[in-house]
Amino acid sequence: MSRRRDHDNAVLHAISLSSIDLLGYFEYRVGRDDAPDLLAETMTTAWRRSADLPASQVEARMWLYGIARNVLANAERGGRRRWRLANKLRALTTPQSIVGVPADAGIEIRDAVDRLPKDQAELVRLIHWDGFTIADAAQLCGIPDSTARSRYQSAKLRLRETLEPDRSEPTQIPAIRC
Amino acid sequence: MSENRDQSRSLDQLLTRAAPPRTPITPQVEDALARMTVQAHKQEREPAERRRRSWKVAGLSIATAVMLGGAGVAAAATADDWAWWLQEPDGAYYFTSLSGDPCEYRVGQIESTDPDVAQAVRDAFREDVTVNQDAIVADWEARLAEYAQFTADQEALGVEAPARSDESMWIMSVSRVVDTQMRADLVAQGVDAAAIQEAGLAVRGEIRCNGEIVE
Repeated sequence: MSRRRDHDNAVLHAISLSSIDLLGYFEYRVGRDDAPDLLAETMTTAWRRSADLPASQVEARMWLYGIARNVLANAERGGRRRWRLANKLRALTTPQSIVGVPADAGIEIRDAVDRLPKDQAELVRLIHWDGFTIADAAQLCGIPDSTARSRYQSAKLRLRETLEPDRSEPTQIPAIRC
Repeated sequence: MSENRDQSRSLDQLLTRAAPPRTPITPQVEDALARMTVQAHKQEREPAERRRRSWKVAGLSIATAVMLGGAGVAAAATADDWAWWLQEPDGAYYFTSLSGDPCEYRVGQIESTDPDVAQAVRDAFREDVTVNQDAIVADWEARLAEYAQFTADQEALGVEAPARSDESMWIMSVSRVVDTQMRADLVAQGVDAAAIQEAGLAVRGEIRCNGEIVE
């Protein structure tokens, strides 16, 4: 087997292992309609930059999420486009295909998360929705573990105040810098 | 202390359960993801390969036969109901029909006796391009004038001219504008159109407006 083919197989394997989770990552942040396009862009970027693919599976996953975060940031700046290769997936991610959980379940909590400072909110999403550890979330955000822990605790204090105002003590939240 | 821990656990659970609903992962979704992964590779690799190709030839006009419509293809289609040979088209163009409907024109199955010619034409078609509306209008108006003259000539001879709707002529104008642009791109790349004409060329395409095939 050629070296090129080995490399391509490694990239294919890495993307395949994370594609479901990456779809969720985008669905949680931009909704089910736009998520397939951002995933398509992430996959295309991953192939383009595949020379940088880390050898370890864990690092490869983090590398893919790093690309996904950049794609998302670019989309938030208005760089969103429709990707033809996402057409088939988009047809499967329509709201009609969702069964079970009502769409408004947890909406109050999500609103509270959305109202957090941006960096805190993203940490909460990475930890609670995407299933990252605080250390991994810190790595993805490019911040030290200790900073991530402090931000995460601040986020939870704020959330507790918002969601359970009667049960929490007034807390002075320190200003958060990016 | 214990109460704080319980509160924290309760909040953790609330946060985790508050994840927005996401698409259930079915075998179909897994299949679509797998296809996307492979197609993303193909899509990423194509531009580099296109750049590597060189063309020694220069100049003439090209005769392409754009055959519109797909016999027997069901109407009321979705994006995935394109014919198999248009699932990954060589060209895809968007335009608005005369009546204001969103339409897509896909081309594929490019055939020639010379594989290099077929590849040159494939490379000249574009994806995700909106057809220039002004160019469509200009071509369409010219066609209407031509057709009016043709009708008048036929009537002078006592022959009834075949009926053509404005909409069908609009569609023909779209394909002509796309074809003209593709030819211009080939010439810009220095592709010898004489060689293409000699080798022969067939391009197939379909147009769908509002998801329904235009016959």
